[in-house]
Amino acid sequence: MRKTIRSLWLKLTWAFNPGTIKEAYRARIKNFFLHWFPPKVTKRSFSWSYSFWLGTISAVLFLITLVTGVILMFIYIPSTVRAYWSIEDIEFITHYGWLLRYSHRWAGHLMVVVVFLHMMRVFYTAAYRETPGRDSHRYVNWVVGVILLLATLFLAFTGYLLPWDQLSMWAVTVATGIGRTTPIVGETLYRMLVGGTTIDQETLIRFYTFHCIAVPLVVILLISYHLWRIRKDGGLASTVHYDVPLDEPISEAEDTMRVLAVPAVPRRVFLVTIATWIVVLIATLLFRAPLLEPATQAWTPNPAKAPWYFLWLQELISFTTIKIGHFVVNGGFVGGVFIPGVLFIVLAVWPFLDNSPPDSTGIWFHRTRLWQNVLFTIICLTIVFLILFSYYCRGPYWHVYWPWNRPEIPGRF
Amino acid sequence: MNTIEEKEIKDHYKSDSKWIYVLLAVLLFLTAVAFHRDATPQWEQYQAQFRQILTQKFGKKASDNFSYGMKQIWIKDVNRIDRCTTCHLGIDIPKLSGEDIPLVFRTHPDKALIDEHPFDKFGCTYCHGGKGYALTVEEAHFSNPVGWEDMFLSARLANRYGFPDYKNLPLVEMNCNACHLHEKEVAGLTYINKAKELFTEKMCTCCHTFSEYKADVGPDLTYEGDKPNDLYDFSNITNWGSLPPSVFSWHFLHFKAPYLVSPLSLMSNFNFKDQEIRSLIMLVLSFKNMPERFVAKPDPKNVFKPECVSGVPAAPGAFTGATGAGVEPVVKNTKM
Repeated sequence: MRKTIRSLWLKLTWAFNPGTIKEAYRARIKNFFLHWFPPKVTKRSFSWSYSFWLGTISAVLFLITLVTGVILMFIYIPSTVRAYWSIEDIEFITHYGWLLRYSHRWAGHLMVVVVFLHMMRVFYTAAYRETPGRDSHRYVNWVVGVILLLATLFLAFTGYLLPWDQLSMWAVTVATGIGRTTPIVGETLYRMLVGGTTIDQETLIRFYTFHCIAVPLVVILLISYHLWRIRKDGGLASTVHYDVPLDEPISEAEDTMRVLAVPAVPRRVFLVTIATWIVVLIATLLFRAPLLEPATQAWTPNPAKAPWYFLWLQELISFTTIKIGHFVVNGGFVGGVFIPGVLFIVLAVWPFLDNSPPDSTGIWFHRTRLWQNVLFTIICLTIVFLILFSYYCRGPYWHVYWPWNRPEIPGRF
Repeated sequence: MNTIEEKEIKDHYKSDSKWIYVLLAVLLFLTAVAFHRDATPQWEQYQAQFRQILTQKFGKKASDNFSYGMKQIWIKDVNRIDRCTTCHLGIDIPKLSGEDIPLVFRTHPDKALIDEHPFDKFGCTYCHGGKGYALTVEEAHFSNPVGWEDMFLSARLANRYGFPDYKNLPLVEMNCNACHLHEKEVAGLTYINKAKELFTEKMCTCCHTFSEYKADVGPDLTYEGDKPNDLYDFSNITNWGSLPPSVFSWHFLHFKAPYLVSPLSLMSNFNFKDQEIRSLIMLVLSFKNMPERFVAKPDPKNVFKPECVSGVPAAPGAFTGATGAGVEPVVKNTKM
């Protein structure tokens, strides 16, 4: 009797009950969602401390922006006359409009942060390297990752314009102005993106289409490819590999290094999803998304700042703009295009320049990679410092202030 | 049956399940918070309170006829929306005028004014300022002045700028004059009428362009009221005194001592009294670009004509700094 209840209970709660590894794999393949996962994962790549699950978190954040964004598309009107007011309506009269808008905003900003952290993690563990003796091409995934980082920035940037308030319009004016200084192609690209010479209805509809259709499609395709490649390259990077004996019976002691991917991995993905969602929801409940006055070309806010993830470029530009008497050398090209351009190209081809020994693959801060890690850290910290400096210390007229001392331009009354 | 148990695969990392339950509980709680926030908007409390007042004043039937929900005035041809009436529900019910009615539900005190400016044609914010779209007390009335240029012109605000009759909402006159611009005198607009008198007397248009009166000494004042705060130069004001830092205060200090606020200014000190300065600021800030339909056509006898007669202002006080209002300049220290 007890055994009957026990088996009934097991059937109800845990239908997946294979006898051999082979059976376990087959059951996994039959299910659409489960077949995304590999048969087994190493305990190491499954652990929190190796990857911090940053890739999964970015994907979840992308999913949150996708779901909230699609709903917002039903209420938002991409017209210069009505965009701002539709945002006001989303805030004040649409049921859960505020929830959708703030979640979308904070998930988007967080995604930029997490994707950047994910890139740092992969660099520090040299996870773009091949496993010795294995046919893998992880550098492809690294390049795809760099493109995904750029796509994330572009996604965030195109979304920044949509509220059509003073903050968004002038941030986009600054950022597109930076890209415009690229020699030869800059002006053409600028006009293609902006749809003329001023930020207007043409710009709004282009940014809207990029933000809602073109870039998300590219990102979905690239993420799919990115995930597929992880499987093809043999999982997360590691120096050691295990071959799977298929017909072996399952025993408790059979494998100390690996676990069956199902149910451990889907369960943890679910856990990460909920945790990420909670963080976004807390941010949504605590902080409002900013909305200034309706956008106007008539005057510029003082100071006009680029979106925060481009502030380091704006800061570089103000450093590289040299004034000799009345003669001004504009730093737009050097600071806004050349330096970041070189940085991103070097970043993309770094797997080919990194000639540290193969056993550094998948190891955090391997000693043979000391100097490149130091260099990489310095660049990352510089970017973070420039962003924080620009965000908190730049006040009216681009003067430098202590963050607690920064004057605000007085209002009308 | 036995076999199921025997074949049971070891379930690694089962502790994750525990965390899933914990976090799901947190998620459920946060969702409940979000649901609560959305389901209980602030205005619903006001509407419930209003229903009680309806029951007290007019009986149960009146309150039963009251329909809950967001209410708005949509002025179609200028596409302006005011949702103030979502809470200010008694604004057009004459019987709700007593002192016993809470201010938020009281009817508009000036019936004659409302007869000439019906709510459905003018809304609320054209006169009173504030954020017509907003549905919370904070957002509608006191929102960050940087984030919303059309501040609610409250008695509190007037008091802050030292208006002795702040309870009559003197600052609203500014918005009256945005439409009654071309009239020399409008009944009830004490400050604006006085300011227009001064504007003509001191011949401001000898230096400033205003509408069709052209001059090129000082800045064009035609749309001075539309000039945003970011276009003002506040850098020379280091001490605001008792005034709150703002565009209004900028004008106040500027009228007191133009050269201290903008050192390159040619404008002279006219020795205006404080009340005259307040009037003039209101006049200057009322120069806005309004939709044509709203601008009042003046009676031919009552046209505001601030002409520059001789090219050199001859009225007392202008450019002499000695006579005028007959008082010493209040701002004496040059290091402000």
